[in-house]
Amino acid sequence: MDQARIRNFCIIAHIDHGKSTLAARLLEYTGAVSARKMVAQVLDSMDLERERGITIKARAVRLTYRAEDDREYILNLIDTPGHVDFSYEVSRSLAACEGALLVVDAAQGIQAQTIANFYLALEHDLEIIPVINKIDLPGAEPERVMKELADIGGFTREEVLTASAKTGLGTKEILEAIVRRIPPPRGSMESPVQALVFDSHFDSYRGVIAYLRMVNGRLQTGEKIKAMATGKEFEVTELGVFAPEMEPVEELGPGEVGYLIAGIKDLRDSRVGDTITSAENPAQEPLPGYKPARPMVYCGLYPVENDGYGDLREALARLQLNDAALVFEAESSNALGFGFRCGFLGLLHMEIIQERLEREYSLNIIATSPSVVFRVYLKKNGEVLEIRNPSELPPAGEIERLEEPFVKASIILASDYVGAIMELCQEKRGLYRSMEYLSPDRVLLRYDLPFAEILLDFYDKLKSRSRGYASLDYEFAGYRPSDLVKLDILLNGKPVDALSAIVHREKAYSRGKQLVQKLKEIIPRQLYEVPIQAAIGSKVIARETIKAIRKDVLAKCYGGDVTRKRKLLEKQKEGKKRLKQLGTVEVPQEAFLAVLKVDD
Amino acid sequence: MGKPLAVYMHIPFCRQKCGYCDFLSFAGREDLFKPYLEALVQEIRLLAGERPPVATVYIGGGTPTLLSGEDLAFLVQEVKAATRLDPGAEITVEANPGTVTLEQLRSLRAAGVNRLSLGAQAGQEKFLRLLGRSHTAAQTCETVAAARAAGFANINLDLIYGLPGQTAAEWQESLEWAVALEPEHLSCYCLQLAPEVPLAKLIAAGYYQSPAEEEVVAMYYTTLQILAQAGYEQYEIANFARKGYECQHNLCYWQYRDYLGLGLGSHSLVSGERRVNEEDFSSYFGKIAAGKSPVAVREKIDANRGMVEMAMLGLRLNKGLAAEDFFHRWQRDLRSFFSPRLEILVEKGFLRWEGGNCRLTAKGMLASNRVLVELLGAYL
Repeated sequence: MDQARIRNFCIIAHIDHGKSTLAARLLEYTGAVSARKMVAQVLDSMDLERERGITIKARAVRLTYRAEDDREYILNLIDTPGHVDFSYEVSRSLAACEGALLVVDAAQGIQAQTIANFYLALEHDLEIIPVINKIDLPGAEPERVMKELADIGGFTREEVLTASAKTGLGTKEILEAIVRRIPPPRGSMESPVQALVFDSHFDSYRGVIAYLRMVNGRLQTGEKIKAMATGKEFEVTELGVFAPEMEPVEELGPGEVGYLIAGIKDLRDSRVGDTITSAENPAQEPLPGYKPARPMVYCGLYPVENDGYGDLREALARLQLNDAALVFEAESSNALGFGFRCGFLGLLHMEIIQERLEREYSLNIIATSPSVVFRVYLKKNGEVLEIRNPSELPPAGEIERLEEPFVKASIILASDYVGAIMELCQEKRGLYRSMEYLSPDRVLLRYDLPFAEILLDFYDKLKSRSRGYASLDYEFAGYRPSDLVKLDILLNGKPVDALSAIVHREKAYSRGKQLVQKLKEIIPRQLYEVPIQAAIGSKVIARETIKAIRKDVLAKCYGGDVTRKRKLLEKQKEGKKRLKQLGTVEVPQEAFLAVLKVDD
Repeated sequence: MGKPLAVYMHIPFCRQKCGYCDFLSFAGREDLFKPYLEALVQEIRLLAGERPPVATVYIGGGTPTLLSGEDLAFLVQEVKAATRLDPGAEITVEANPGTVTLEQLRSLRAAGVNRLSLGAQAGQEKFLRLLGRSHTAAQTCETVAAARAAGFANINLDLIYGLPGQTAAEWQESLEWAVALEPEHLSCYCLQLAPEVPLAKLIAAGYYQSPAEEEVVAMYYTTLQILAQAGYEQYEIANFARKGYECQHNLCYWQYRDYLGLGLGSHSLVSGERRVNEEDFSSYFGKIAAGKSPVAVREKIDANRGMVEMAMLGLRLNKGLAAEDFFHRWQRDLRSFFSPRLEILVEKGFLRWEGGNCRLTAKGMLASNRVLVELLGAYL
C-alpha cells in the first residue's frame, strides 16, 4: 500500500449535528455500502445506538475513493462517539488520525461539544476541515455559522465546506478536501512495528479482535507479536480491514487501519491505547497511549428477585468483555440483598448498561441513585477513603474532611438566557470562571461545578431554563473540599441503605423534604400505612405518610366465572412484580432513583 | 355422580345494554330468542343420559324475563326432565323491573320458580339514568308488589354503590328505600368498571367523577350498619339475607362445589375441571346442532390453583374458609400453606380466626382484592 494514498480521518460533532448521516453518505458515495443495505446508519451497529441515534463505541471503516486527480485513495474513517460520557473514546480515535471533519449544524451553530471536540483535535495536531451540515434546513444560517467558525477556530470562508448529509449535497467536495487537505500518514516501513490499539472487542468465536492503527513497520499474518503493556506474546492468525465488513489481508503497513486476531483470550491483553510490536524485532518505546478511562459514576445494580444474582454477575461479566470502562464489584445492601456496585463513565453510559441488561439479558434489575466518588479524610492516621456508595460513609465524628469531584463546564447559550443560567450555576454551587461572546447573541460560559450536581439534574434544568438552547460539555477538574452530610431515608421506621445520599449541608433540609415527598408520589399505596422519613444522623428532618389502601373489592362473581376473578388477582400480582419488598413495604424501582427526580 | 350440582342457565339478551355492564349479553337480537331457546333445550337434554342430581337452578342473564313466562317455565320443565332435581330445590330467575308482568311471574311460580332476583340498582332516578337502566324506581316497587301477588316469598334486590357523583347519604337513601320494600335478600355491589364499557370511557373523558375513596368506604360501612339494623345478616362480602334466605346457588360457587353452566358463554366447574361454553352464537349453535358439547375451553385445576381458588372464594363468605374443609380437599394445612403471609394479615387486622375458620374482617373485606393478592401472591 502506497502510504501517500492513505488518509486517516474521523468526524467530530456535537450530538445530532449529523455525524452518522454524513458517515453513511461517504460510505454510500464511495461504494463501500449500497443505499439499500444502509439501515439508517451503518456504523452504529448496536440496536441501542441506532435507536438513540448516538454512537457509543468507536468504529472504523475503509473507503476506496478515486479522486479528481484520477488516483485511487484509501480513506479510513474512524467513527467517534458524540456524547461527553465517551470523550475518552473520542480522544483515542483522534490519536489514530491525521485529520478530522468538524461537523456543525447549519441551524444550531457551534455547540459545547463542537468546541470541546475542536480543542481535542487541536491537541492531537489534526488537520481540521469544518463542514456546515444541514444547509437544506429551512432554519439554516450558514453565514452565521461561518462567522462562529471564524471566531472560534480562525477558519476562513474558503476553508469551510457546506453540505447536506441528508440529500448528499457536498459529499464529493468533502471527499476531495479529505484527499487534498489531510496529510498522508508519516511512518516508516523499515522501523520496528508500532501499532496503536484504538479499540477492541471480544468475539465469542475468534477471541479478541483488536482495532489497529499502524504507525511504523509492517505486520504480517503468522508473525509473532508482543503487546507492550503486558509483554505478552501472540501469533497473528488474521489481519484485515473494514470494508465495511471485515475483510482479511496478508499484511498491514504504515498508516493503515485494520484489525488483528491473534488468539488473544482476554481483552485486558490488548488494552486500548497499548502498542503492538513485533516479538522478534520489538520497538524501543511504545507509542504515547491514553489515560485509561476512569469510572466517574457509580450505582448499585440489584436483581429484583433474590435468585437473580448469578445471572446478573454473568451478564455484567459479558458486557465487560466489550466495555473496558465498565467496572463492578459485589456488594450487599440490607434493603436490596446481594448485588453489584458498578462504575460508569457517566449517566448515559450507566443508562445504556442498564438497558442492555434488561433488554439483551432479560434481567429485572433495580438501580440505586448514581453517586460520584467522594474522598473521605479520616481523623485517624490521616487515612483516605474513596466512597462509591453513600451508605459507606463513616460516622461524622470520624471524618476530618470530605472532598467531591468538580468539573470544568462549558456552556454555550443564547445571550438572552445568560442571567437565568448563571443563576442556575450559582444554585448548583458553581464557581464562575469566564464568559465569552461567540457572536453578539451567543455566549460561552465557563463554570466549575460539583459533578454530583451534574448527575442530579443540571442538564435538564439547563435545557428547560434556556428553552432547549444551551449545550453543555465538561471535563474533570479534580477534587475539592465540600461541606457534605449523609442523608438517610427511613421507610416504616427502618433506614433503607439504598436510598441514602451524600448531599451538601446547606441543601440537606430541602433535599430531604423533596425526597420524602417524591417517594410519597412514587411508592404506591398499600394495605398498610407507610411512614417515610428523612434523617441526618439520628435527627429526623422531614416526614410524610403514605395512607393505607382502604377499598379494593372484587366485583360480582358472575355466573361462576371464577377464572376471570383469578386473572384479575393475577394481574394485580403482575403489577407487583417490579416492586421490591422491603419488610412489609413494596417499593417500585423508580424509588431508588428518586434522588434524581427531586425538583429544587 | 356425587354431590348434587348447581345448574346455571344463561339468557344472553337485553332490551338495551347498560353503560356499566360487560357481561355477555346482546341487545336487539330478538330474532335469536327462538333458536337460542331451542339450542339451550338441546343442551339440557344432553344431561338426560346421566340424570345428575341437582340442588339449585339459576336462570341469569342478560335479562331472562325478556323471554315469555311459558318459555322460562319450559326451560325449568326440561331441567326437571333431564336431571334428578331436588324437590325442595331453590330455583331463581333474574329479572329487570319493567320487563316483567304479573302473568309472567305467575307462570314462573307455577313452573316451580321460587326465588326472584331483581336488578333494582338504585332508588333515585338520576342514578338509574346514569347507569343506563331502562326502568324507574317506581317500576321496581311495582315489580316487587307483583312478585308478592304472584306468590314469591324469596326476593332479592341487586343494588350498586360507589356511583359517579353519589354521596354516602344518597346511598343510604337507596338502601333505606330498598329495605322498605322488604326483600328477603339484598346484594350490594361496589361499582367496578371494565375499561371498555361506556361509563368507564365517560369517566376517563372527565364527564363523570368516581366518588373519593373515603366516600366509598363510608358507603360500605353504612351498608353494614343499615342492613344489620334492618335484620339482614351479611353472609358474603356483598350479600345480605334474612335468616334462612341465603342464596343456595351462589353459596355453591363460594363453597367450591361443582356447578354446571348451560347456554352461551356459561361457566362450569365439574370434577376438578373448569369449562367455558362457546361465546359466539354461531359456534354455540353449530356444536349443539351437531349433537356435541358446546364447551370451548377446558382447564384442569391442579392442586395449587385449586387451593388458590378455594381460598379466594371461601374468604368471601362471612363465616370464612374452614381449615378443616381445606384440609379435606387438599390434604394441606391452611395455616402453614399460606404462612407467613396469613399471620401477618391476621396481625394487621385484615384476617381473623374464628373457631376453625379463617375469615376477612370488615376492613379486610373492603380491601379484599389486596388482601387476597397478599395472601395468595406466591401461588397466583
